[in-house]
Amino acid sequence: MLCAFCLMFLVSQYNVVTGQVYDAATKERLPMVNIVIMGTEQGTVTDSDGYYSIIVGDTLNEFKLRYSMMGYGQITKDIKFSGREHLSVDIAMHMEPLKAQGILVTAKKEKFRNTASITPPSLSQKDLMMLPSFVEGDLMRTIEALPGVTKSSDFSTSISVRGGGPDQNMVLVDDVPLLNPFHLFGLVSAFNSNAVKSAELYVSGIPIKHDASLSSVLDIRTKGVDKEIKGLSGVASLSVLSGSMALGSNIPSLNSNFLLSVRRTYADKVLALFDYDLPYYFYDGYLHWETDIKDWSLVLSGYTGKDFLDIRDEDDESIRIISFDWGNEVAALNLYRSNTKGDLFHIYAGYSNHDFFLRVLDTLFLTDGNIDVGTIGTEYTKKYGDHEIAIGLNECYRPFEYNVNFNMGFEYSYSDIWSNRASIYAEDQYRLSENLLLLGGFSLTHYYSGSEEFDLTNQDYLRAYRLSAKYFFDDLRAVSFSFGNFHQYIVPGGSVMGNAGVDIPVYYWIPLGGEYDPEEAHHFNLGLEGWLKEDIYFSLEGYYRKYNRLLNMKGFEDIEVANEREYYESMLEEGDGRAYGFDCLLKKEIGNLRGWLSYSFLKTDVAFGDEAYPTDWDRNHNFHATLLALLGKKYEAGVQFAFCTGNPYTTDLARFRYRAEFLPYENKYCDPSWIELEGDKNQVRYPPYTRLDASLARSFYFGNNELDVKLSVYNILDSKNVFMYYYDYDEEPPVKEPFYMLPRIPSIELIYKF
Amino acid sequence: MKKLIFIVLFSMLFIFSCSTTDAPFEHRYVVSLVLKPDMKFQRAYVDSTYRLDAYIDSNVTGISGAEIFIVDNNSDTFRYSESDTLTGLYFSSDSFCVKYGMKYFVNVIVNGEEISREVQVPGSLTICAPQHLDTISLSDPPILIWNTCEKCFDNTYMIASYIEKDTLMFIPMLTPDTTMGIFYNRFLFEEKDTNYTVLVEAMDSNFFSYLKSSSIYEKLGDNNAIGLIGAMVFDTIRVWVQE
Repeated sequence: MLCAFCLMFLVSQYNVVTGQVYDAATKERLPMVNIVIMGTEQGTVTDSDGYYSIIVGDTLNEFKLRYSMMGYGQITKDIKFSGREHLSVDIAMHMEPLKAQGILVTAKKEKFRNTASITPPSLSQKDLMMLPSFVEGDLMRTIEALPGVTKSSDFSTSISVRGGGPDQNMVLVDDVPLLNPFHLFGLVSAFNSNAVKSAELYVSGIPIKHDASLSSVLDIRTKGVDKEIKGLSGVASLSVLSGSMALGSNIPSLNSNFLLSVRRTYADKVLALFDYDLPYYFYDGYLHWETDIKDWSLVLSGYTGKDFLDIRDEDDESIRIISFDWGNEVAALNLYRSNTKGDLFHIYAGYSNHDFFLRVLDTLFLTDGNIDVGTIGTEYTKKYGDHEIAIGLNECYRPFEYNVNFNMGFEYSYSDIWSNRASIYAEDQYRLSENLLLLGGFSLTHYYSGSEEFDLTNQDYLRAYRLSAKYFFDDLRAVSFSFGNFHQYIVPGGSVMGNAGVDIPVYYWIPLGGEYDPEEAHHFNLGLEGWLKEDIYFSLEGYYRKYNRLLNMKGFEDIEVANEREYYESMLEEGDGRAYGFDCLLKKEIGNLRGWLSYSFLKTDVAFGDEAYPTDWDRNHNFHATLLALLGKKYEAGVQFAFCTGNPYTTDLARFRYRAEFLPYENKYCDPSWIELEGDKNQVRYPPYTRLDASLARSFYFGNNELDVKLSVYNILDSKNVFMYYYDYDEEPPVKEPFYMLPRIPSIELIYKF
Repeated sequence: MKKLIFIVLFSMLFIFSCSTTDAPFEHRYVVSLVLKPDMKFQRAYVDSTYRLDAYIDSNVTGISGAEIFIVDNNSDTFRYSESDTLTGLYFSSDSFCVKYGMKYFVNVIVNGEEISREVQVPGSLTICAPQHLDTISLSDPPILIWNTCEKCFDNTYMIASYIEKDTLMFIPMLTPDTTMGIFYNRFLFEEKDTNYTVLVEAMDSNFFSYLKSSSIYEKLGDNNAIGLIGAMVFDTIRVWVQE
């Protein structure tokens, strides 16, 4: 009553605009619409019934109101008072594609016009939120539905791009490289969706400044707070895996905004209440601080993430069966200066660290490693007429530390290995005519590696090139060709968890030094892209990739282990590889019913020594269909379907009786057991892979807050996708039994936005 | 465009239907023969691979009628004879005494196919400390020390400890040193007030490759055979382990 009285009093003293905002198509009233008096910091949001009221000082008689909401086109309305008035303004908003909030690759027509190669496929944040989840939304599991991306199993979020290995994708967080960005042995990625603003997956047309990976570049930008949002805002979410919280705010007095996001698994804490000790958890956290100072924009970002596994002897807790932890830390500073002519000056500096520690059976096996990356660089982009020229410098220093201790008698220690990569590059994009866009780029890299302990010196000057051309038939269609060569300077020296037949992407990374030269690949791409209608994008791109110098970890039997030097010098074998195929994408980007179809054909094989074979991720045919539906204002549904060729595997050709010697001095054999004789590597395939995922989300509104409840079912048909085969010798002849990938997994996520 | 989609889908279905079937059976001979000095008899086992999808009576595996003979540096030849009790098992006669540091040529002829390998027997190996029947206190453990074994492949040794007559905690470890702080690892000696046997082995190159191999058995030269033809030397001590 008192409030109503106060409001009436205020209303009588000031001008007031009230009204309601609704969906133009469904006529549903829209809550949480941002309404701002343009040119001021004054504004409001609609309530849960779509109503709003905004009080204006009597000195402000003429102004513009801006209505905005995610997923809808922005509307500006002229307001004019002729004295103290109460105006009623109802607004109908039209749904349109999300652009500014895109979380994945942002391909737009503008980019299509200004990129001299195929533009990467794009997904919006809304799409990501609506897509079915595996336990919780995961950037890397979303990317796997894009064309050109294949996987070797459901158990890992690591991806292979156009035939390249999982280790050949460079992941950048705000321009700083990040190694092994995975939790839970690769089952989920290290990227919390609440903290990621955008991610671009470069599969072709990779910019010249990125010459440190053979296959692709995943460029991730951390998220701040939209400038329209006032006060503290955030997202709290809870899934069956973890709980997370993101808090952010604008600080107008500092012309800044920040976002802090943390995530942690909680099963260990919950089970502890029931006296059950779950020996595993992970956490991660992001910080993003953005400040505008005159023409400069400063972005300071940080990431930390850690996994812990600690299994102890049930009888004696002082004895550790397995103790394993690994994680990453990133700190990055980006400075941008732009002007109205479109010139951009970018300076960045960053540090990242990847460390791991593994202890098996008390002190039987101990290993730990620590890889630091210090990077600094600058890039200046300037437009001269029809030319857009970029020049840049990049310096990347990596010290490595790596220790293995095998029961106090067998030790390797590489504590003073380091590599340094300094690059200078230039790229010119030239619009030769209205229909033809050309690009040429060149970089020169000085690579140097060394060690204090033994001679690991490798000094090399490496040249990289980029050439591309795009011919526009009209505003909506273009054909493009691109070529580039790529280098990689660090490779996995095996997986921390060994080669257990599972692609666990927690690698030991080692720098290439001594006799090992940096790896090299050449990419050739020819593509066609455009729009069939205003809202249906298509792309078709064929490619051929040649790997001249691949380095692969040898089998342990072929490695000399007498000392560190021999171990390093004998641990890698050199080989060649190739990949070819084509990727198709057909995508409807706007409307209440959206989605895409993608098909990729891929052939990839490698040759090491006398052995040539398809890679583990050589899925020849990959078909993905994704459907997203907005069912009114409150419901959202998503369906994802995958149908792919089975992965190659090494079959067993026969079996034999294995008679191990019991003990040497007893001169007798153990009871014999059957062992399989393997054939040539990866010559047969598992049955085709199929999977259907579905999700349904419902939104509830509480004043200015929103609660989303999302139900997802991963592999809803419970398709039996074979991961591996084994033989059950309880019967004679033995039965070939399949071990399947992930079964049907339902999950629920609660996402509270405030 | 619809036509294009149908063509792509149809092509995929057609190609999927032509997926590769399992590879055929591969026949190999399987030979296991490890020369050990100081043993009264040397043994060998000869067998073959079997189909995975066929019924096999485990009691009738092994190949009889194989010819096994070993030639030493002096061109003396020693032959193995077939066991009466177990098909596929062969014994050397007591006249054949494997010597430390000696090189031998092992020949196995099975169904007309000759499988041969050169074997370098390492020199003698002795554990220097602790002593046989010593008492080991895990709170103040000694270092295990043994001598350098001549002609031991890659100067690498295999160490194992286990409770006697038991393989409960048989964890082999490789080391290029002639010392190891094995008693510092309490996990290997979890059971206290017990006799443990500690074993140190040295191997020839064939045995070493086999030991490091993930496939258990190696291809034997260019022959259509797999298995192990090698040599090893060893020493053991028995110690009483207490807290």
